[in-house]
Amino acid sequence: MAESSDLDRQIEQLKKCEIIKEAEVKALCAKAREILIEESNVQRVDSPVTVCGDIHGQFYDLKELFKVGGDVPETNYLFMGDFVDRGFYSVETFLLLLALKVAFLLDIYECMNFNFSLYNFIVYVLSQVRYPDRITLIRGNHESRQITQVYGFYDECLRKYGSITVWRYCTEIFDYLSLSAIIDGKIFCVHGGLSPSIQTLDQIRTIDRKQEFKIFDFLSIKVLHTSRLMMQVPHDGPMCDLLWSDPEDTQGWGVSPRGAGYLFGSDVVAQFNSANDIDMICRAHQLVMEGYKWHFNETVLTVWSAPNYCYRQCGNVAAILELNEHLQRDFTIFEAAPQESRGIPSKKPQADYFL
Amino acid sequence: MTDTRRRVKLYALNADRQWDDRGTGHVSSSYVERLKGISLLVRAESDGSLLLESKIQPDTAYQKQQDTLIVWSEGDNFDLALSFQEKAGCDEIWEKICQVQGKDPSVEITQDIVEESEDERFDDMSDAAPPIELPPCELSRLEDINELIENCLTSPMRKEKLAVALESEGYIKKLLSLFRTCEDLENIEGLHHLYDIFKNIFLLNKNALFEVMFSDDTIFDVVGCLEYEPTLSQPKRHREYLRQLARFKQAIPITNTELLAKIHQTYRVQYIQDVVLPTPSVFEDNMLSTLSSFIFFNKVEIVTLIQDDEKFLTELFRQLTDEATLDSKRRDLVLFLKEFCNFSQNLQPQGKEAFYKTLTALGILPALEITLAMNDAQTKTASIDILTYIVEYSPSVVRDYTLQQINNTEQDQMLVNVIVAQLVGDSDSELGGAVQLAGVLRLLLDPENMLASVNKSEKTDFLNYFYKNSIGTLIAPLLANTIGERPAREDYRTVQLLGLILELLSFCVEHHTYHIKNCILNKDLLRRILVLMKSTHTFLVLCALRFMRKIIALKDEFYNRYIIKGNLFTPVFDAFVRNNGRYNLLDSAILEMFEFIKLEDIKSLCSHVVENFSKELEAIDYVQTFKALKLRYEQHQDKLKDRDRATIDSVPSILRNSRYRRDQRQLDEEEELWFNEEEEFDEGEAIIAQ
Repeated sequence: MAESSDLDRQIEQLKKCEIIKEAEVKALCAKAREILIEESNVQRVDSPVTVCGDIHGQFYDLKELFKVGGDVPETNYLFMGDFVDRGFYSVETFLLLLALKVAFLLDIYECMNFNFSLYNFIVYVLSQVRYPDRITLIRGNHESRQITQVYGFYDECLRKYGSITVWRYCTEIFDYLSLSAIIDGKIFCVHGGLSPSIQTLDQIRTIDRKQEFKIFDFLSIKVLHTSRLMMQVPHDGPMCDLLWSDPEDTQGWGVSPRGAGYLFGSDVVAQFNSANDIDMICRAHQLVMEGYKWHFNETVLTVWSAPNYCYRQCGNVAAILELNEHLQRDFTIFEAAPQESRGIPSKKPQADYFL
Repeated sequence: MTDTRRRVKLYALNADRQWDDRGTGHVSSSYVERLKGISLLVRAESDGSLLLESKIQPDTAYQKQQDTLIVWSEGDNFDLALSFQEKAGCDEIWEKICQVQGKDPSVEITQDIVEESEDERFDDMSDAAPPIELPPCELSRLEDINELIENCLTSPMRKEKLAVALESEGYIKKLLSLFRTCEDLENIEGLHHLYDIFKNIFLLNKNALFEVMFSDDTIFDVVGCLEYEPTLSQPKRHREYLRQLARFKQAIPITNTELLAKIHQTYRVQYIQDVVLPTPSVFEDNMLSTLSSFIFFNKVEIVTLIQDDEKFLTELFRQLTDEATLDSKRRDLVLFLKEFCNFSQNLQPQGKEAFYKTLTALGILPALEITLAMNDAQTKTASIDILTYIVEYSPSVVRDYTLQQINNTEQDQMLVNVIVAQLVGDSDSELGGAVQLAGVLRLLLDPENMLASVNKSEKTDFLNYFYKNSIGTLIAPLLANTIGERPAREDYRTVQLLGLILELLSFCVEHHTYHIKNCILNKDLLRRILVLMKSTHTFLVLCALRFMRKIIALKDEFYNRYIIKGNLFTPVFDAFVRNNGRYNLLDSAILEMFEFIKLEDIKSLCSHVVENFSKELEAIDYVQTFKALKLRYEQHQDKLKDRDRATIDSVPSILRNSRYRRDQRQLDEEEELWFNEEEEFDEGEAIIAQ
């Protein structure tokens, strides 16, 4: 019981946008790792479910999302990655989502008073026909050690905790996040898009997803830090493609201007959808001003859930996709939360100084 | 033709207001998704890398000079220039810029505000607009003053003029005297105005004003103003923190008063930047650039002053290594050194080199041998931090030192062995120190950073030493835990440590072909590691599997025969069977391993797997991997039969294959030599099994 109530307290704290202690992050990540390690590369999700796109550390907007979409666990959520970077509250955002996920399983575990270990319980739960998992998190291209060192999450952890330990715990968890999800066998959800090396969902099964994908070489990261000039070293590999690709109004495959992943055309999608007997591909990854955007005759959908993205500069609205038990679609649009009342938390000062 | 038309040199203005050459390349303009706009791109002539990617903002003032030069500012303090080889290319890009900004290309400047160098801007201003007149500095006028300052922030020219006015009239000191009055009278409204006023003065970004605000007699009042944030019900107590909680410690007394003042000032200004000021959002980044520069230059000066004081550092190292020094004193000395190294990060490359040379000459490495092994947690952590700074700066320094030590130092006191011992001995359950030390070791062992070394034998000698004398300690916990059929200990600290060691060993497999091979084959290390496939911690199971996967990735027939002879796929298949078809990370990671064997067509392993595990394989129909593997095998068998018919005395397939492989591999000469000399594994008797 103690564990669950501890976690509940941490969730309350995180909901107020307050960070939890380093040791608590460690314990939370250890639990999360046990759960995530048992998840599949294409995680099964049952309808009804609400599908969300990029969040990017916009904590107060995530709260707005829960306000319009419903609380966990009453609403079943699928988040398609990019929880961190850019926004000022990546730590709180990612840890809250992780804690909600862990808490839900832990609650059932403790209520049922099973006689077996948490590990066995997780195995048992995941083997059920209908999962009780009420919040599914899949990996985005920002869930990476390299990317977070450039776009804010690393600095944020250092600033809020005074060391990079928490960043290390979190990025370790990133490596365990599932790569994609499939809703009722019909809607394939992934952060970026398709890969030329993957024609069937079964092929995704043979990816060892626990890896840090490298997009830039080490040197260019240094360059990026100092002069903010981009130097991309393209990287290939199906896992990277799933997280980086974009749909494009062409046929076949194209080179991505991002330097990672590919551009995929409508014929590629038609072939993939028919080969896997799915209705559509749902993805995030690209800012769309209206919050969501259809491509290729409603066979690909982009969902974007970070309103007024990028330090309140973009002026976009955000969307979530609500699917009922018949997979009927309903979009909810929402705007940025009122100007954040709290300032950005300041760095912890160091009391003793020698210099 | 196009080749030279768009050929440009890119320049950036540096901190000394000199133009730095940032490279030669070709310029183009196109839409960049990431920046959401038409941008200027410069690709380097040498390697095609991107030298510049800069969005054409609607309000940036671009200036065309002398027909072939385009100059502009990115933010307040970052000036760029493109120097074209040909006028035609310059005109094309100029037209594009004008088009984006909706201007006629005949103009020489696209926006009214001329962003020239600061001095020129000064000259300009006297004619262009009237100077700013500040209201008398009185309590009743605070609101007006605040409003005036706020209004000035929108225009760079008015900001300049405001700064001049504030400076010339000694206005800051007057404002601070009002602050003291307000605080005495508990005039909250006035204090709130003063908060806004000073917050905005920071945004003026003027070093001359900072000099006034950060002097000994003003800085506390400035911090005081910033305590009264209007949105807070209670003022923050920054001054109390700075006066009472912050503690300046002197490991070795500093006598230079100028240096002392600099140290205090830097601490306080850093505090203002980190804690007091609201963090600027990223697009305000440049707003506080002068504040960052102020701290930066202070730190450089502090490092230089200390470094120049020979007596100071000599005394510090004397006490640090003196056995009679008290532990608490030694802790302070180490903490001082850590901050010293941290500050040195601000030095320019030449300065940094001199800095580390000085420290090395004074004996920082032998000192670390002592302090790394101390029981005091703070001392140990700080020592690891210092070591990390040094190794990140130059791993060769530590490697050279190790090689010099070989003949005159006890094994267990050698720095590299101290590092390994501390790594495996980290008693903290978080393993924070061990993780960091593993990073240090990885840098020391990375052949990539050994290439530039002057000392040619560094790589061979260091690796020889490490594999002869250090690796044993590193793998000891692994061996101790895998004596029986299952892992002996499964507590959290142990499994974390084993995971860490496995990661390091995987790195070695990838980067040091022959040394680590020798170690694995002689110690039968893979078999031991695969005992961990039975761990109850799935992440450790995955670490063990990944280690084997790294070996298989090498496609080295020595390893392959070792695996086959030792029947080392058995623990993998056992784990696979235990996993019972569940679609999880372990399932995927195992499938991926066989997918690799199939894709790379590793015949020896393929045959072994199909011949020995067909029962397990048949059950798996949810992916094509094993079906394809079996097909490959059968095709291969058919081919062999054909060949058997054709030639009478054929070489066994595995051997033929291995020869082929070995020829293909590109070993460097050195390695080839070693192989010839020390090849212990004859084709026939390959490996010590069981």
